[in-house]
Amino acid sequence: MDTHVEMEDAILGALRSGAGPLVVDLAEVSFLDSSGIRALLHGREAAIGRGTTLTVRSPQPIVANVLRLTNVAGLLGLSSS
Amino acid sequence: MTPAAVPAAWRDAVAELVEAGHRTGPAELAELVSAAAAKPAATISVYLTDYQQRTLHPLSEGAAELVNGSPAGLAFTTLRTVRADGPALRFWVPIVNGTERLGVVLAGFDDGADPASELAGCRLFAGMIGHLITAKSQYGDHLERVRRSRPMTPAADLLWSLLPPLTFATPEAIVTAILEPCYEVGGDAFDYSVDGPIVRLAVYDAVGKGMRAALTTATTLGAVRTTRRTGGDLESLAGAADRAIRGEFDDARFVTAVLADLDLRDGRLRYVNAGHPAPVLFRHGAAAETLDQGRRPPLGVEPGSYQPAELRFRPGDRLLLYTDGVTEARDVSGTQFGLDRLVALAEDVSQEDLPAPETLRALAHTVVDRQAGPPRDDATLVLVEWSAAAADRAVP
Repeated sequence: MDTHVEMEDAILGALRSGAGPLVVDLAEVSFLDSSGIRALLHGREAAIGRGTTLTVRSPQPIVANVLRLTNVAGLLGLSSS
Repeated sequence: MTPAAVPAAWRDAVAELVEAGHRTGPAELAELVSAAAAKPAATISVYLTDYQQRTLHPLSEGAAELVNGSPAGLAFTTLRTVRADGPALRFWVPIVNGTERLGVVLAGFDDGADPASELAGCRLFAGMIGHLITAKSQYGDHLERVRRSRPMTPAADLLWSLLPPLTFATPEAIVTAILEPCYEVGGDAFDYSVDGPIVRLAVYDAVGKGMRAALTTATTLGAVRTTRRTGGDLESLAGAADRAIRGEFDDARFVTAVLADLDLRDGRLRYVNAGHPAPVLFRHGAAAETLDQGRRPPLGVEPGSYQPAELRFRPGDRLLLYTDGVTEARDVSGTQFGLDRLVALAEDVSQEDLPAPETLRALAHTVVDRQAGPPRDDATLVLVEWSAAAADRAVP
């Protein structure tokens, strides 16, 4: 259930080891709730803090829809409409 | 129909509630009520609704009554006086504080009494009991203990202490809300203020669960309220929440929300939708519009530039705000409740001319009862009706 914690740790770990810009591929993600969105936004803020960026790509339609309804699609580099 | 005159003995009884009530604590309230009711030679037992509005618990001795299917419950849900079962002259009379439904009293009169005038007195008496229950519950835990069918989580206890009463009505409008699961809520909340013709509404859903979510919500409620109380506009309220959340937490947590201001002088409704499911406007009993403009990211996330949206609320309109715990509740087959079903149900229930809080109770319980297993998320519903008739129905 708490895969968002793993994702968050992976993102923050990658940033700490100097990676970036990061692109999170969501193609295999079939469910994203607000905790998952928070993990992505946290990663994005950490990336910006290190002078780099974090975006997502290839979300399944249901996940893209959640990101749009929550109005964070644009922040994560997706088109917001 | 002219209501019967209130007999003098009942006026004395109400006066005694006021006088003796000054030095009465929550645990002595039942005793105070019994003593005062002796003046008009009536017996009065007080029952309080539990948080879920499913059971009416006696304040002193006696068995609990279920809200669904009992005469006591009928009095509670319809806000009407209902004759109790059995040959004795006994009635269930609703107790409200303002329009907040608190419970019922079981009132018994002598065989020779005139029910119309006794009930007129008893309704006045029950009105005073409603005020006393509300005033006294802050001073001890007794009334809270009666209202809880089981213990609350610490997060739920904190959250309930931050919420306004579930229902408030003015002569022309009514606001009512419901929150589930009552004893385990964490991140959901609603808020309102009604000052003259200005109704300010909010519904919140914080990321996560339990105490972490409740703390996020508490931070948001505090920031928004203090700004609201200095007269801040919608953008200021949202901005205060952004700063408070970002200042307090560094893990990118956020709160989805709808903040709305309704001006009942001209029906102007302005709102901001911060990443939240769009509220639904019902006109002539049917869904007419969703509030999906005025969009910005959730509270706590940098907002970028956005404009509050505006629409015209008309007399008779209803606005239903909800959180995703309602529409995403799953049944045994894993199917979500869904917005279509919520809208259809709201249209159905609104035809029954129930008191608004009862409409919402029926909606919420349909969602909860259909759900398989314990709820995964908090579910909140807030209903606003601009209607003198609806406001009337919320008064016994």
